[in-house]
Formats: sequence, structure tokens, C-alpha cells
Amino acid sequence: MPGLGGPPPPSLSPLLLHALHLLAFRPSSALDHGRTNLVASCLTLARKDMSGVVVIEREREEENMAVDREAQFHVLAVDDSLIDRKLIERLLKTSSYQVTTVDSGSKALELLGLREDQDISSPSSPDKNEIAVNLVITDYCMPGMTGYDLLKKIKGSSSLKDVPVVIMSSENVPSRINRCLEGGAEEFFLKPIQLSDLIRLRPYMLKGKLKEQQPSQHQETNSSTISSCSSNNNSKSNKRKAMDEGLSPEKTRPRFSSSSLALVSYEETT
Amino acid sequence: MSLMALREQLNGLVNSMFLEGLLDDQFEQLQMLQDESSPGFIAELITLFCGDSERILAELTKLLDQAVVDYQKVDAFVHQLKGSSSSVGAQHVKLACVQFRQFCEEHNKEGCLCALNVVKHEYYLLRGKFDTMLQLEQRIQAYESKQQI
Repeated sequence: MPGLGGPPPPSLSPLLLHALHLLAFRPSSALDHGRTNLVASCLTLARKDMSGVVVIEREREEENMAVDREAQFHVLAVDDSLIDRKLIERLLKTSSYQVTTVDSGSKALELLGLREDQDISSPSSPDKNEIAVNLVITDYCMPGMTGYDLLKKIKGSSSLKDVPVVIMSSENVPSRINRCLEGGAEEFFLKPIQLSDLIRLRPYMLKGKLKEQQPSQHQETNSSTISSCSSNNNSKSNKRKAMDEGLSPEKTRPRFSSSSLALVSYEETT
Repeated sequence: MSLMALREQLNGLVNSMFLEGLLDDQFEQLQMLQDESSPGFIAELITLFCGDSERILAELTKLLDQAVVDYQKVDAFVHQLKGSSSSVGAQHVKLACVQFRQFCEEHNKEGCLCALNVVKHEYYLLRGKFDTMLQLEQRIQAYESKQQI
């Protein structure tokens, strides 16, 4: 019998571990005593004897992970908070993305090959430090250049305008969210970001890759993927967010997407 | 102490923290994110959080000690602390920060001083338990790495 600390067979490792994580931490409506069974005997999840494990759901996750392994997407994460950078980096790496983190919008632009005072990057003199990214995820509230400013710079650049940009914020301000979506942000996430949120990123990155071959057809397929993600997530979000900052228990975790400004279940008052 | 006893102790501690509301779902997320490829993830994040929080609390104490309080600066720091406590799942600290920001908005010095005390109380309470948690985890991980040899 494998020991609790032993690693599972390498070929199964990422999928099974991911499935284990999801199984163990599906938010339940059970009382907190349920956690007693779920909380690991170490802070890390205990790797129990694999023979008893049945993966009963999340085929989508497994599919996605298989895709991820084939195509490494690179995400640029921008946040002035070190803790949040560490967190987003871990979240993205766990989701099999390649990650670069920076602490400011201006550094992000530098890495993307766009100087603050330019509208187009200069292909004739590529900086050694420039990187190619499939998505930029940025905090909204940052000193100097805000996430919104960064968004506008990217979308206003002829070379970078097709890079999907996602904005994160700890504050739920509808006017801010609208402004960002109207400014071209693909999504707006409320912090703290969770693993389940990152699944929503994949369509944007795939769209980007496919866009080179087929310019316009994927918009609709992506919308249905996104809304199926939303409807799946909302039942969990209800339970998770009940205590958040004294919000009423009925309020769910808002999902904002440019493909559908009307949310699945969050009533905006503009 | 045996490995099993250590694990039980850690389990019990983390459970009680969830039950008391010191930790929320976000901490569970952190647990999900820690694995063999990042065994020190939680320890790192908690250590960063503690260092950051103490720095902020010191700044807040200074700012509120002024005759004329710069509420914008105070709010900025509380916003930071609220963000980091939210990111690590430190629920009570986060909620105390929410309260604090309301007093800030009202430019209520007495309220702010009171709120600062509440945040400090919640933070130090949490920190004590985090210290124990990380010590236990260290001992468990040391045991486990010995076992694998």
C-alpha cells in the first residue's frame, strides 16, 4: 500500500491529483464537520491509496489538462501585491500555464515590447527580454498605471490588440467592471481568484491561436463554453460567497464576460 | 511525537480555525494549490502575509498617531491589508479591515483607532495559530521525507 507521503504513478499524476483535489474540496452544503474528513492530515492533501479512488466528474477538466499539456500557453500576470503575484503564479502553473509575473503596468509593457509612449512595438529592434504571451491578467488597482490604463495601452496597440486581457479586482464596483469590459477586457474577475476561474481563460487563448487560421468563427462556440462554465460554477459560488463582506447569501460570485454583459445570476444596478 | 499524532494535531488545529471563522474557503484553495511540486507554498504565503501585515500595522499606528490624520494613506494601507488577508483566507482579519475602511471613509478617528485595535487583535490571534501550524507542518514534512529514503 503506498504510503501517505508517496507520489502516485507519474503518468497518472497530474490528472489524478487534480481530480483528487477537486473531489476533496468540492464545496459541500454539509456542516463544517464534513471538513474533518476532507482536511488533510498535513496541509497538503493526503495521497490515499489510489485503488479506492473513483473519478466521478470533471471530464472537462481532464480534457482541458490534456490540451494544456500539448499546447503551453503563456500568461503575463501583473499585480503590485507580492502575495497576489505568488498566488496567481501558483494558480496558473497548477492550471499548466507558463507564467511570467511583473509588479507594474509599465514593466508589463516593457516585456510586451511596447514602450509607454509608443503605440506600436518596434519589430526592427526586438528587446532580448520581450516575451510572447497568450493572455494578460492584471490587477485593477495599482499605483502609477492602473490595470485599466494597461488594458487601453494593449488594446490601442496594433501589434498587441488581439492579446486577451483579463482584469482582477478585490472590489465589486459595477461601473468599474463595465468600463473595463467596454475598454476591451475579455473578463473581469473578483479576487480572490480561484482555480475554477482560470478554466474560463482557455477559450480566449485558444481563440488567439486559432485566429491566425480562422478569423471570425469562434466567437459563438466560446460563448457557449463560457456560459456552461458559469452555470456550473454558480451553484458552488452561492455557498462560497455567503459570508463575504456581509453580502446577502443570495448573491453569487459575479461573472462578467464581454460575450455577455448580462450575468447569469447577479443583478447589476447601474 | 509520532507522525500520526502530529497529523492529528495539525488537522485539529486547521479544523478549529475553519470552525471559528479564522480561516475561510480561500485557505482551502491554498491547500489545493500545495503539492509535491510546491510543498512550501502555504508556508511561503503565510510568512509573506505576516511580514506584510506587521509592516502595515506599524504604518497605521504611526498614521493614526498624528494630530491630523491622512485618511487617504490610512485607507490605502487598510485596502492592502484587506487584499492580502482575503488572498490567504484570513477571514476575521479581512472583515475587521472592512469595518476599518468604513470609519476611514467617515474620517472618524476614534472609530479608526478602535478598528485598528480590532485588526491587531485578530491578526495576532491568527499569527499565533499560523506559527503553530507551520511548525507542525515542518515536523510532518521532515518525518515524511525521512520515510521516503
